[in-house]
Amino acid sequence: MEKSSNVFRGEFLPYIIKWGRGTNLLGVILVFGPCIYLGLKGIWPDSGAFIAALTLQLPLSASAYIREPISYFAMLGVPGTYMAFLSGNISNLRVPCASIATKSAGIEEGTDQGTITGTIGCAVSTFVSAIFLTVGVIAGASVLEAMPPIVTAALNLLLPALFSSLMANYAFSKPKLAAIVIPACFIIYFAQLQGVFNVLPSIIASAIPPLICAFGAMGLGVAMAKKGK
Amino acid sequence: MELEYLKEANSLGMWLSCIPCVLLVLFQAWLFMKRAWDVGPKIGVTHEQMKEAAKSSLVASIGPSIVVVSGMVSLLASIGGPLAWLRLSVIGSVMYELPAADRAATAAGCTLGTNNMTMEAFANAAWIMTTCCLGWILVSALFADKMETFRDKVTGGNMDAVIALTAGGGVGGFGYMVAQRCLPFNLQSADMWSAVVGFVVMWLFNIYMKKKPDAKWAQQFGMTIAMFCGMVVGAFFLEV
Repeated sequence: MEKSSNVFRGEFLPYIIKWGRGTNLLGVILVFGPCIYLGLKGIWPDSGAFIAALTLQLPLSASAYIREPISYFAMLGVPGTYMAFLSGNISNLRVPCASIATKSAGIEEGTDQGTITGTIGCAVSTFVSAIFLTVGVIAGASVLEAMPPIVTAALNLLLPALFSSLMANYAFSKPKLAAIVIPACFIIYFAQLQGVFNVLPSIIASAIPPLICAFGAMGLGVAMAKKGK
Repeated sequence: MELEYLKEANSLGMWLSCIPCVLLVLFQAWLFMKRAWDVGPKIGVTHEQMKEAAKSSLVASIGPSIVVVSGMVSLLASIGGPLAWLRLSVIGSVMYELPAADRAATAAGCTLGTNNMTMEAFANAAWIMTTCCLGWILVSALFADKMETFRDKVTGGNMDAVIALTAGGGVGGFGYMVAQRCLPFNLQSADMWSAVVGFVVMWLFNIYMKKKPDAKWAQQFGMTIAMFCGMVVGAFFLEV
């Protein structure tokens, strides 16, 4: 056990951190590719329009920069966090696939072994979504638009079922914790709808309720585990 | 007729400028997967378990990937193929990208997807979508390793606590997202029925898998089946 932990912490994680940090930082540069291309052709945004749009958009995204990585970290682990926050589609693809991969291998999530299977699950989902997106973009809008509206609307219903089936998996593994946390999540979201959190500054008002749910549940889970429940 | 700005947006140059970043995403995934594959057996994960993990993820990725592609339609029409492809392959989601592009176009005095869009407004959309996604990549690049240290401190290395922390994050994180789909309470809500059915089917699968731990098909297809059952039942409540 000691040896496997040494291999994981002494060999696997340092490699992942070195390459994860490097590739993500390279991603920060490469993602500007189209902007640079347009610039080379002499097409630049108007600075006033850029600042105006940035002022509108940045506050909407900024709280998610912090909230999402820490909320999903426990499920993704270090390699999954690098991959998920470079490739996106985190809650609908990366987290579910990391989780399903680990569960199907019969391994507990959060363990060193679970991080290995989670990494494989996350990577496979990256390949699959990239293939679908590439085929989709080549097939073009005409094919996609030919789908009847009912099909598109129905496809969107996959997501609530995906979220709830993942919740079911976690709840099944920790039923006592889930019996407290799930009703609490509903109450917190209901309170949010009632405007209870509007007393907070608007930039954090929408980020606080999901953070309470995720962190509250993690804290409660750890406290219950330490008490042997 | 194709709009003027979309000619540039769909040009070969735009494709070429988008390809390196998408390749980087794939390269990283390949690199990590290969390393996990090599290290797995040294820490007690068998090749069978890793193959099982890969297969299950492959199956489970298909449904949500189709959803992402179907959402891409609106982006394709507004910002062209290459940028839509890049934005959804690199820290993107339709829910975030389209409003961002729309705000950028509006700030430049134009309307996305119409013939009053100028090249400058399109460039503004490209710059805004790109700049605003940097936070996620930077936070993960700089702090992912610190989160591991933080987790070790919180759990004190107690394995039960590590597992409970992950399960807690899952129940709390997805519990909130399910609540978002179910409230305000409405018996006719397609989203709510989809969520309820998904939960019930997955719960039943868990009971079955506990009784028959060797049922590989249930482990591999359980969640996909639960997702599709939820979608089908929810579709009866759609108003078209």
